[in-house]
Amino acid sequence: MRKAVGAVRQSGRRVPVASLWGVVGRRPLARHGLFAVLVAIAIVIFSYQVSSYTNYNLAEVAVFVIAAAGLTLLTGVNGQISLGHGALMAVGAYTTALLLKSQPNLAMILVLLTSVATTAGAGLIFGVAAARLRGPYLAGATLALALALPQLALHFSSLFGGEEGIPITPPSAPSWLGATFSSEQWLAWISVVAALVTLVLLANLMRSWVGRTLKAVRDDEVAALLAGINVGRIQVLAFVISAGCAGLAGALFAYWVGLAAPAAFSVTLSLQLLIAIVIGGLGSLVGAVWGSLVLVMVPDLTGSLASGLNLPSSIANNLPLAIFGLVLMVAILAFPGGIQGGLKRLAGLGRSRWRQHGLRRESG
Amino acid sequence: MLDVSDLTVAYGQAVALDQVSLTVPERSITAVLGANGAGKTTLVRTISGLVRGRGGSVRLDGLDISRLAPERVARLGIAHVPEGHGVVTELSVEENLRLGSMASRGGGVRQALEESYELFPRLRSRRRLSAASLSGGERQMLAIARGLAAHPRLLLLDEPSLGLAGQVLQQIMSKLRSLVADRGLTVLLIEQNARSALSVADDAVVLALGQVVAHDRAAKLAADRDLLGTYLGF
Amino acid sequence: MHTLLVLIIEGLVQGAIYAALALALVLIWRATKVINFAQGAMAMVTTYVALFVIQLGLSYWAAFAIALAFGFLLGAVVERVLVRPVESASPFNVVILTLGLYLFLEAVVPMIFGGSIRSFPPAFAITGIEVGKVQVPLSGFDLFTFGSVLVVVLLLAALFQRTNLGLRMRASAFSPEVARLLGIRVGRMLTTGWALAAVLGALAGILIAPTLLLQPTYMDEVFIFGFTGAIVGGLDSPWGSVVGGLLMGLVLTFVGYVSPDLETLAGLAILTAILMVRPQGLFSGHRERRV
Repeated sequence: MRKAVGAVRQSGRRVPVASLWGVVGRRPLARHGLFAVLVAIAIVIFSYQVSSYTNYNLAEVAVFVIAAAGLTLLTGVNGQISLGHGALMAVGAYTTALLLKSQPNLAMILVLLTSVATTAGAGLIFGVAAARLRGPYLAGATLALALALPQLALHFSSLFGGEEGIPITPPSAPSWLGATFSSEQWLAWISVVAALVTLVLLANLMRSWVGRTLKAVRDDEVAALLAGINVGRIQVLAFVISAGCAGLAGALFAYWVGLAAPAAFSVTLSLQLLIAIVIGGLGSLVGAVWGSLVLVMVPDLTGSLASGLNLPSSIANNLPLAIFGLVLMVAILAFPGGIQGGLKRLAGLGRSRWRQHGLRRESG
Repeated sequence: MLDVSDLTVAYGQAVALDQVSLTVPERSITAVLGANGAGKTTLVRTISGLVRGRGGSVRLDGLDISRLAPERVARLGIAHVPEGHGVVTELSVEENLRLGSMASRGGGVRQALEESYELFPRLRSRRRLSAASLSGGERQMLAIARGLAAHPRLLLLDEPSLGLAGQVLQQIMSKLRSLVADRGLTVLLIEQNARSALSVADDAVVLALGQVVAHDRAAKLAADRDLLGTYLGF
Repeated sequence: MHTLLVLIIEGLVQGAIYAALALALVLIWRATKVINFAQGAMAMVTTYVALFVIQLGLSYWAAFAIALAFGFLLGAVVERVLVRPVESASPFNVVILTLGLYLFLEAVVPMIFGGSIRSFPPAFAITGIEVGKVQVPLSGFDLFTFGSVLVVVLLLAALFQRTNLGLRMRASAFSPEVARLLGIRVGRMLTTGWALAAVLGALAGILIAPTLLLQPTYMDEVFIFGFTGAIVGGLDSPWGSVVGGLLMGLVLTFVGYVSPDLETLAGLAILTAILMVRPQGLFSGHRERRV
């Protein structure tokens, strides 16, 4: 009965907007792409309205979105935990830095693509090594990676620049944008576009057979094996794609900081990424966006709050982190499904109420 | 002794028990029969507190236990021997039995162990082994012995015939009968194997799709060919 | 020859600390299938409490006892307040909770005690003991460190293997539903497990503090090496975790002697090598199928 009502309403809705929705609505790539273009336009307009500091933050959010989206595929969709994505970002960052050191005039797109490729390669090696590991064992191995990789930069300091790292010139905006166009805004544009492209590609991947296979492996490995899925290969694939995203994020991160240095890629960064995807809503790309926003905004807000309160420095310096930890715990206790899960539940409540209302009207 | 009235249990939308009422008299064996999915296991799990009912009540000597946690129910003298994997395989046979005797309301650990080994001599020779190394039948013996080690007033046995050879099952059933007579034990016996259960039980309840379709003396039900044919596949 | 002896002793003493932390992680893992990423931070808090007690003028031993007792309490509270509510949620949620606690504790402690590096007294002299006229490379504090970890580990083993409480705790960890049917208050047992683990952590924290000096992040590295030790040994094996911790101590000390900046890399290399051969660690009995 309820089904019949829904069908009627749906077919009734399809008639007036048939042409555009008919083309775009049925193709995920086209639909996601259209949505991304709209978001990009909105952000471009937004970037003109705000200060260059906000643009700087915007770029940071975009960088986190790229890395978190990649981690979503690995951890959320495929069920493999990684506490080492910060180290993979470091691979991307150092690739960018070394490349620019030898070829200062290389086109940025090529730099980014090379960083994606090398990091995906590193992900391949690590994915093969990690394919047999599960749960906490994988967590331990990836944590060790996060800890050890920055040490390489210290050990081979002549190549990687040691503690100081390798400086990078931030990309300057093309002249046709005008002389007053800030480099922060330009980097924000590039990062946002990169993030949107990543999201669109990942969203389509997740809807394809690859996504379904990744989920099947996460939900029941034995059943996936019995269904003829090469579990090991799929897990490595997830690692490679996820590492590619981390490489892109790392490259942009290096541009953003203007430096590739080991301190930027501490264990904390890896933990932050995991925190972002869980707090946003594990397994959802939109959740990765929410999580990245939380990751950048909460410390920023609490930081300005703490500095405005005239507190002693030992308190003011640590208050943002304390609040962040607290917010994290409370959020997980209050919203076990993350922000996206919470929103969905709210939307679900609203929809079922609406539907009940609609049904009552129709029967009455 | 045990009064279940109008008990309703649902998992989400699926109703597992629909207003089930039955009584288990003291010092007797009551069998609960029914096909797979009839709600037998849900019934015992609700009595022991593992599953919370949506409506109705479970009373032990008049005390409503339907809202109590399983550990509280166990402390009131109800021992539940769950279906299948009832033993803690990571522990040794003796440790399993000791765990059972801890819930006992009288008698020491040593006495409980001795009784268990008397009941199932095979367990004595395996007492230091890990429960994981036991055969299916031996595990079932261990689970039953552990339930009895608690000196319960009411024993809930879920499918004891699973994995047991017919002869061993008969042995266990006759032991149960003597415990009912000597110690005043009360038993609620869940069985798919209706024939063996009806031969040992005083009363029997037949469940189908979560509802009680018959509740009578076991002997009377055993003679009801129509009923057995319809619900129990004879 | 002398150098080798020094390295072995140093490695075992370091390893005892890692072993204590590794065992703490394994106790919690077995009870609640959670890796407590705040284990190191909790030990840091208890050591700050100990320092506070010492500064009040009480003796080292009073501080020692109070720190362990505080650890017991802290572990119980964390399990009750944070871990219990998300028991049935995705395992990632618990990971994030303990990470949140870790960040929170490391930020709150400097707010209360100040963020500067503090020294922490050892229980005994840290210079080598003299046997006859020869000074051996083993200090009283080394002996105390190794000995107290050993004693606590043995006490815990006795608790788990020989007492009814230990049996109840094991049953609750292995098979909570069956345990409840046997009248065991499983929740209370899990809380006790967390509390005991936190005592072990507190012990590690107080023993390593004189060497590392006290600051809010001083347990981070110890935690990671302890975690590595637990994984090397196998998370389901308490004895394995002790062996894994000692192994980490020995290997890291040797590598650190050869090339100090390779210490962490070596840790990764060992871990990877062992996990390649034994994905469940060295001493884990059964295959883990959980994600």
